[in-house]
Amino acid sequence: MANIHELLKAIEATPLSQAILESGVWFPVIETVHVLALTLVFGTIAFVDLRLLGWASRGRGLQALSRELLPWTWSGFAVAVLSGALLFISQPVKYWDNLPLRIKFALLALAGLNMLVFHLGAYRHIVQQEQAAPAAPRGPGTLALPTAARWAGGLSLLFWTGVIAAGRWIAFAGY
Amino acid sequence: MIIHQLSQSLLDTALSHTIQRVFWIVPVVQTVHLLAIGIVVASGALLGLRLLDRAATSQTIAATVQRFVPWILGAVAVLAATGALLIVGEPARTLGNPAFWAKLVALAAALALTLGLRQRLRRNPHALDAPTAAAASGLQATVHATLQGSRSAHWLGALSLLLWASVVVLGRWIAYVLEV
Repeated sequence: MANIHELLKAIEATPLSQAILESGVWFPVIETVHVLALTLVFGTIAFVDLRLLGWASRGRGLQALSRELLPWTWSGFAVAVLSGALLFISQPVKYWDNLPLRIKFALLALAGLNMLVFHLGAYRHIVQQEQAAPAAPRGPGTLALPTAARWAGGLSLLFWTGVIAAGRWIAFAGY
Repeated sequence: MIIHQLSQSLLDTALSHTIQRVFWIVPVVQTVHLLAIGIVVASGALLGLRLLDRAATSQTIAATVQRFVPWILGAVAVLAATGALLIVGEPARTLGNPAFWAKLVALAAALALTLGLRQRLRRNPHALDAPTAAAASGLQATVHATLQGSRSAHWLGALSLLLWASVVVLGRWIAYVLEV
């Protein structure tokens, strides 16, 4: 791991890293952008997850809802990644050893995996069914979704809640 | 002076003592606060972008308002409850903080705009739709073929986005603005 620490120290020595750490204004500004972006990511994903669970937007098709929300999720995610990277390089050595940050990355990976599995599997079938019978909800005002969709929605909510909790914990992890 | 006394008496409560003593309460409450902000930001963004004709344009403006306003109100209730706990735990951090009071003003304005919008659309669901060709030429506009918003819809959308973003920004800056 010595190489990694040398790399982190090299990053820490860059003018950009120093500027973010020392200015006193840049860190809060970037962090504010990060918070705006991540709340947009979480909120838009939560609406899709709640739809998968059958708890919200039940009158709308999954494909329509996804098309409406997910472009904003991805835009927010891009901004969150960029602003998060800037926050990280302000003190890379410190953050590398931060346990909540590692947990956050693990949960992000799980959230991504869950989304990938769902999109390659159950999502396609649901979209096919919606296109075959767009105006035929199977329940009272609801398009019932298969169990796999409910699991995907529930797990997604769980993982993303964990991401936010771990992210919030980064600042509390004993310095 | 009043704020100082209020802070002191809040600090002396059993609830405040508990929040100060148990290390995980503040991060957990802040996490719930953040999750609720997520719901408000997503709902507020979709609503604002709908008014600007940039998102959710398959639905009318009235339907979009009906769809998202309950989420905003529910999440704001969660925010008020969790926010109150954070204040009780560390009163001086917020009550003596200009960023906090600015946030409350922005929140009040954002809520007023949102509720005003809902009232106006309850009375007339087409109040913010762009005038159709029929309406423009003075004919009875019973068919609202357009899902486009009017000019005032666009202004309200931009203002709403600005106000909700201000609430989040000022909230984050509570941690960075020193108490006066």
